[in-house]
Amino acid sequence: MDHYFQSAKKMEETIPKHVYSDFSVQGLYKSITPKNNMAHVPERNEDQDSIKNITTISVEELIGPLNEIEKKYAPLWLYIAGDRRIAKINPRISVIGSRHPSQEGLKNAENLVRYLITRNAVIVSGLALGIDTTAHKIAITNGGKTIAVLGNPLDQCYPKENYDLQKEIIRNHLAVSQFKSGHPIQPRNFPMRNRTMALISDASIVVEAGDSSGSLSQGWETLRLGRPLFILDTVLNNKELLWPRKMIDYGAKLLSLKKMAEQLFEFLPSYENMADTKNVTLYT
Amino acid sequence: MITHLISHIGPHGTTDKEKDARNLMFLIKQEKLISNPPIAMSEYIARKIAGELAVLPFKNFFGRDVFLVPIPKSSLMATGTLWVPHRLVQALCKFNLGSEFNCLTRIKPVNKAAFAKPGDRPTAIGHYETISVQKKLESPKQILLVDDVVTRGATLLGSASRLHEAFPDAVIRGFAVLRTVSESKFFDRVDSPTIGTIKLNNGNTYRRP
Repeated sequence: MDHYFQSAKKMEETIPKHVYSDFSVQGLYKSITPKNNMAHVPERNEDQDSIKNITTISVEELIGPLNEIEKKYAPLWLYIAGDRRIAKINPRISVIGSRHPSQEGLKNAENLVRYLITRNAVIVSGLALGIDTTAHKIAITNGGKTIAVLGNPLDQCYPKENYDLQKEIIRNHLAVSQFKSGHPIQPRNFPMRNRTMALISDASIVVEAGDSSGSLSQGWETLRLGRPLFILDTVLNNKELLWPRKMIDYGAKLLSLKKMAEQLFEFLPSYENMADTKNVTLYT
Repeated sequence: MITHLISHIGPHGTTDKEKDARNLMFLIKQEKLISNPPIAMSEYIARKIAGELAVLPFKNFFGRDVFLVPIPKSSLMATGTLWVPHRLVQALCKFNLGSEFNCLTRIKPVNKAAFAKPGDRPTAIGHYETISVQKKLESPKQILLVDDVVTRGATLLGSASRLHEAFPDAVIRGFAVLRTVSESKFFDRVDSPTIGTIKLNNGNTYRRP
């Protein structure tokens, strides 16, 4: 596996771009990129737990059947690399926020993720700079599992600072993207990615965000899906922000780091393979 | 007012049955799909009620001439949002258990009962004041309010009061798929269809059982 990344590393050195493409020149991602996206039948890879290939998979195959509301913005296919079993662990909680957070925001994200990991939650985030990077890194260094939902194809890295982190997530965790290889990285990818991240997560927590932050699109989608959306109460310290109060009116809940044990888990699934709902005992 | 409850849940439960109940609540509140071929929880519940109607204690609460009214969410709601009571109403209609009458709207958000501390929970009067009703030209004879989970019943009672104002001659009842229980000792089984009452006394709502 390493030699693939080493070749990519060489490219990184020779192509001074802020977007690195194709860290898979040796054919790492040969199996993806369906010729006709609409008609493509996902290729099966028997060795799903390895990171040798990107697998094309439907959202329902990854996390379980979707209701009509969930299907509305669900991508047709997802491209995944890493251990897909992570997507079946509950609860999966998004920790998201600003790309330019305050020191306090970073500290809060760190404490939050540390706590979530002790409760066996999978940390979902977007591999952006700032809060996202902290969320992934703290999850990894504390023995937790993490899912990165990318706004670019898996064989590209954006931003470049997270090259090693993306590599680590593909190797030991799970990376997901709705964009096939070759898809351009453009601003509109990211709100789409945010909806997908909301769909994959049982709940979302916004740590810190400005009124124009991309995290808000995930917040609104989480509310639309009827899933818990938490906003760290420290966000309210900035009285000029309009979004927190508006989201609270539409059902978001304030989360206090001191009281999160009682606030967070009451309405979250707490057992594995929740997506495999046919195994749930309903009536006894 | 009389309520009809199919199951009950203990949110802090630790036994297997209590966990089952908690998971059931999760499945319902998220409108998850279960079984094979997959079926949405709302349809699963409606199918179960339709199939067992003859033996359910609240069988006379459903029927083609009953107007089913979904309970509004505690918050405001953007178009296209998952609204579980509405999904339940649509599913019940599919099984000819009533006809949809979507007439209640939340005009101002209230603290969500399930998240608020007991002292901060919205009262029935609080719900009454933040819900508006859209009238209908003809007067329904029987109305059944439909909700997913009932805690103390303040939302059901507040909504029923609004409806009673608009339709004074109608018989108004309530139905919730799940009822919460505060202590484990009151929890014996998940599947426990029951008829009970919700009353207002000195501004507080009391649900029995």
